[in-house]
Amino acid sequence: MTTWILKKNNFYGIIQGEIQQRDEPENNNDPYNFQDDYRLYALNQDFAANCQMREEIKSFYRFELFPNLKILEITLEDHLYPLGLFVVDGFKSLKNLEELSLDTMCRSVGTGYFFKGFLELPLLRKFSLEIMFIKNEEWEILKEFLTNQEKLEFLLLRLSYPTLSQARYIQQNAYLESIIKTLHNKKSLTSLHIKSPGWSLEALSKGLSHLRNFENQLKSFSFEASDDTIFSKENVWIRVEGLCNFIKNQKESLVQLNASLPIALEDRIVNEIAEAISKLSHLKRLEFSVNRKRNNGTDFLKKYFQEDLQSEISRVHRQKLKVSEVWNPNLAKYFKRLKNLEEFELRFDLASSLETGDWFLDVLKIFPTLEKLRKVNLRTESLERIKNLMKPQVIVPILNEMKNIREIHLWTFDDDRHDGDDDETSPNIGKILYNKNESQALRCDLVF
Amino acid sequence: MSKNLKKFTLSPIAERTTINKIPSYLKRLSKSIRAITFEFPVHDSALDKDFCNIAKSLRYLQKLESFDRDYYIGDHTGKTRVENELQAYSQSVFRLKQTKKIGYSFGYGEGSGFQRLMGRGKTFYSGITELKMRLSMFSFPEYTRMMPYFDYEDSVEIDPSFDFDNMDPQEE
Repeated sequence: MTTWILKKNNFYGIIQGEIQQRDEPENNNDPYNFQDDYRLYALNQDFAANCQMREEIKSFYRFELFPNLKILEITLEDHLYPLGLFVVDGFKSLKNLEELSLDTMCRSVGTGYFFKGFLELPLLRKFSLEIMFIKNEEWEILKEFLTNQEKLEFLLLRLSYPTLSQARYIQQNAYLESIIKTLHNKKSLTSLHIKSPGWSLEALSKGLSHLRNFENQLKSFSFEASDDTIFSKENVWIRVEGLCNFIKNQKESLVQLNASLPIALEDRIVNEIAEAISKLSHLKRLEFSVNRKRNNGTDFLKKYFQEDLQSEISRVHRQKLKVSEVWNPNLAKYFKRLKNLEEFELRFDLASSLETGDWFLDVLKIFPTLEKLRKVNLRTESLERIKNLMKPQVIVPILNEMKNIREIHLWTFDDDRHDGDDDETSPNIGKILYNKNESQALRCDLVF
Repeated sequence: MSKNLKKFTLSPIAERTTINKIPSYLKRLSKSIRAITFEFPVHDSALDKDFCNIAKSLRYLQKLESFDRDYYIGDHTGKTRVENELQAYSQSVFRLKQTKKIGYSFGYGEGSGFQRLMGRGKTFYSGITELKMRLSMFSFPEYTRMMPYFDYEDSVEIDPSFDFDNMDPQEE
């Protein structure tokens, strides 16, 4: 055993030496000579390759070379070489760090070392973590890390993929709730962003109900969660009570809100949330997204809740999500109360064929009444439905009323098509909106 | 140019930017400038010294508080360039009294240079206060050579809900 360790250490030395010499001009003739090296053949090549990978990736985490680093953003766009203890050592050397942002689109082997590294960081002002999923032991570390972070002003936590077993889904929701609970004593926190399509709205809501002391504290808030009507035993109000009360508690401070409900198929859920949002008297920017199609959207989540999470139940006994036949008709009524709104983005999907789309025209009609509103973005993946709905004789008079709006955009997608594709049978909405934007841009409101 | 100019941002969208004249523009920039942001794809004709000259020319802007450098560089450039450029930034900052933030963002084409600097360097870059790293497999200069040993399935961690052999009792 001892001989093997010695051999390994010697070998590691050879690898390090090789890497050190690689940049010397005389060794650069053939960069692919790795396999021809007799020293590497003498031992297991996989082990040699692992050593080399480790040396290559390790270099990027020598943060001690930047002793005054205050902001660090790491984006890992691929699965990379395995991570190791060197990540923890790197984080340990960040004595002056104030902001950390970590975005891992894939989980490389050893990603857990990031979590261990978090515990070595000083008190941060901003912490942002976007990751595919979090393991149970990492949730515990994250909880400990957040509990200790007393100066936190900004927190973003986003999980990109839902977990695929029912037991873990329930467990992940419990972790989410407990993580939010740790924030109750964060007096400096003014920006909170918690997002994942795989979290239940109920768990998010229950977590936020622990933050009753957050009265008019947040300036910016984002949330994303799915309304799970299958595994929840609670009624509509209980599922969103904590979230709605939390939003109402920020009525005099919240300036930006991003509400994303990838699946919320019952009118009452949307009503309750929209009603809470309507109380935000200082809100300037609102992004409201419901029942999207793309990016883990409605179809994906229906399958997720109805099939993936119930895979152990026979098909006959599986429960289905409650699907509303028509879109919520009350949005205009609630959004009309947001008198300070300057920017508004609405993302929606006309899911049902019974949909008349009147609610959408109602939303458009409130824009002239919101005097401070300047910019509107509308995004939908129901291109054909919207084209049929927005006939020139209907849309042009509404647009003419919008004297306050400086920019209005309608982004429509329908699988592979977008509104740039001109269609003789339907009006080109893009052209109408372009003319509107051009005329508004030429307006001069200066008064001498 | 306005004598009271406080903020200067260069962020062209469509074309690659030729950077060799930027240092002379910076020298002529108003001394009142507080914040500069460079965010653009660099033209392939750029030489290593052009990058360093931009860093060096910051020293003339005595009131500079914040500088952000986010270039997109397509191909791998000289191995010592990142090292020299970072040193130049540190030296410039040393002469500036009001600087609070120097942001350095490196992309794909600079991965090998950055790795070299981090892997074997012993110099401290105390002037840099913000670092943005975007890492992909192409950040590693030896990636092609290592590919036979780098198995995709072994290199990613899968959601434990798929890992039926290692479930904890609760999950089972």
